[in-house]
Amino acid sequence: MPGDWTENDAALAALVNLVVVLADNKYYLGRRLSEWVAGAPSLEEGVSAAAIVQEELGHARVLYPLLEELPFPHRPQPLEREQDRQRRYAVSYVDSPWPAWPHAVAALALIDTAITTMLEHLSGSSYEALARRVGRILHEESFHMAYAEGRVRSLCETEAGRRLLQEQVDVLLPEMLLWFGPPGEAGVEALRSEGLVAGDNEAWRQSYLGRVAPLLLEVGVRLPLGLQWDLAHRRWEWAELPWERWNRLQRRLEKAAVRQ
Amino acid sequence: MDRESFVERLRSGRLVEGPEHCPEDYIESLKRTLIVSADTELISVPAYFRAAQDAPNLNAYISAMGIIQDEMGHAHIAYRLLRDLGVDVESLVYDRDPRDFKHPYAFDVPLDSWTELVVANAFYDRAGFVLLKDIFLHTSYGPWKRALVKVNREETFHLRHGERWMSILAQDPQKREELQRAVDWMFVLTLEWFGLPDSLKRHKDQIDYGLKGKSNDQLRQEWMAATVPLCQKLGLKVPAHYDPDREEYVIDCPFPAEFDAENKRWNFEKGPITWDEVLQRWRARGPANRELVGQLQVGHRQLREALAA
Amino acid sequence: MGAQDMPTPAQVREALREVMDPELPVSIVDLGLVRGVEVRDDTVHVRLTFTSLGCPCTDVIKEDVQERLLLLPGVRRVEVEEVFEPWSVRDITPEGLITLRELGIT
Repeated sequence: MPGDWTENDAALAALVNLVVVLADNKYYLGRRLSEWVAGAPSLEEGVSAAAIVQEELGHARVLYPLLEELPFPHRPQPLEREQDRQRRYAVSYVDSPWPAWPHAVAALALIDTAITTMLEHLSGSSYEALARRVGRILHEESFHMAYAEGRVRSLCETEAGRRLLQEQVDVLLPEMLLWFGPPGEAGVEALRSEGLVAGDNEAWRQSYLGRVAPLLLEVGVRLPLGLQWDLAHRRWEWAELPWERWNRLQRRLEKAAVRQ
Repeated sequence: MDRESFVERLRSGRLVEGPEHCPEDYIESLKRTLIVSADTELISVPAYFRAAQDAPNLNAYISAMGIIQDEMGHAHIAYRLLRDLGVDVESLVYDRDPRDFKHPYAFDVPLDSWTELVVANAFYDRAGFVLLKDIFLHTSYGPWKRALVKVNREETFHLRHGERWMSILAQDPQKREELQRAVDWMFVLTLEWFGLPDSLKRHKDQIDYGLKGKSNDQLRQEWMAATVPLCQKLGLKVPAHYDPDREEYVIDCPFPAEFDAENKRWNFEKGPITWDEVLQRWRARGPANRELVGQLQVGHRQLREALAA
Repeated sequence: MGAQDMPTPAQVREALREVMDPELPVSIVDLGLVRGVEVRDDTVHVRLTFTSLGCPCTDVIKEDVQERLLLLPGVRRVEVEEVFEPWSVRDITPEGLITLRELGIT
């Protein structure tokens, strides 16, 4: 049973948006990764990728029905087939098929980990139906994380592989940093006030970087955007993010500036 | 050990556990059989994936990916057995010319829709099941026999998936026509899968060496015994029926026949053709051969090229 | 229809022992997927979890549960609810484990 927060329109709107963003990212990540099952560099990697695909899509499968139960007038349709809905609430990196395997490795390491970071801040949500699903999802994600780390390490065993991953990190990491939203985002404040989510935009981003940056540095991938650990303030610092191209409703990076 | 005492040992039910002490041609025959099986499982991955893009809903897509994962796992098992026999599996999978893959011709004909995919799950996976069950029951190679326990169990889910979806589609008037069209070209193509009739080919070596139990015609019968009643139950027409007097299934169309792969249709009006002509078509491979094998090799090849650059 | 015609939850569970996992020769009860059974009027309500959220067999298992329980006398409706409780090998019953061990799984 939803609690009092269902009366808070701002929180409800942000929650509907959050659910569809999480589900769409899982959905498209699963679809894109599925396109690399057959063509993975080894059979073992293909078999594991296929298992992850089913779980990502399974996570979307259990998140979408929440949209139907939330009492809000504008709820996006759940996706059954990829073209069901024109408006996508997923990062632009999963828009179309990836031309090469390192894209899949980058996506698993950077997108899946971002979603997981976000879910960790939802495991104690006052929206109980979401919290329950999140618990189960996080349980499965630990395997994805280990797999992604293994693929990153294996790709970076060679200079050529590392260069290919570097190119993708340069493209994808900025979008994922944007994905956590600008500091003090209004909808997020509403969610926080109702106990629907823990942490805030900046805390999520820091937590995310704390997880992905050390691995990248360890395998010799340079961090884009001048990202570095500020020892004095004990936080990650970076140069400007391209907020002008950030679509805050669909939470994705657009090719051209977005009118907000 | 000479061939005769080796064969005698196999007849007494002893399983071979490794390549040591085996006649050279036993190992070669085993390798050939394993490569056919491994290639068939592997090619089904891109073939099924292509058609899965047409899945009607998310759950259907997830099931298809589950099946694809199983098939890739089965391929992996068979290639691992080959590796243990000293085969360079990496080059076998990633360097081989698409035309040299040993999967049945049926997989070289592209599956284009969810309807064709579920018929493939019911027909092709049934053919695979019939063949693998025969190997499971009769193979003299212990490591393969043990691995097939898992393979056969997973294949039963694929059959169930295919038959369940065929029955769902059969209830929709529009899908029903599409289903019948798929059955029309895929039924005979699967009959062909079992190969030359016993009158033209004996498998003395394979049977002596315990790599095969039943003959091609017996296996074809077994496949029909499962598939013909399934189609009849769903009200789908197939060119075969059970003849109680002969106590076997009888094929009611010219067989083998000429196949127009581009249009997925049998030129039955031409009457039966010879198996030599069939073998010729098989050797020339079908329309999707290059595309499907290419998809299997692409990731490995890209990385290798990047390394060489 | 009187409630006395309806099966007890224990009888429902017994019937569910005949519903096998599509990929394993173990029933969904022995796999630990059944998380609750309630009988109300002519309706049986079953709470299920799956071995994974990405389980490819969810539709098939739900259908099999429906089909089997509708065979019980008095049952007119079957509601299958997917709960999202965690599942692990520890949820398999000793009988289920013995079967799986014999097959060399787990």
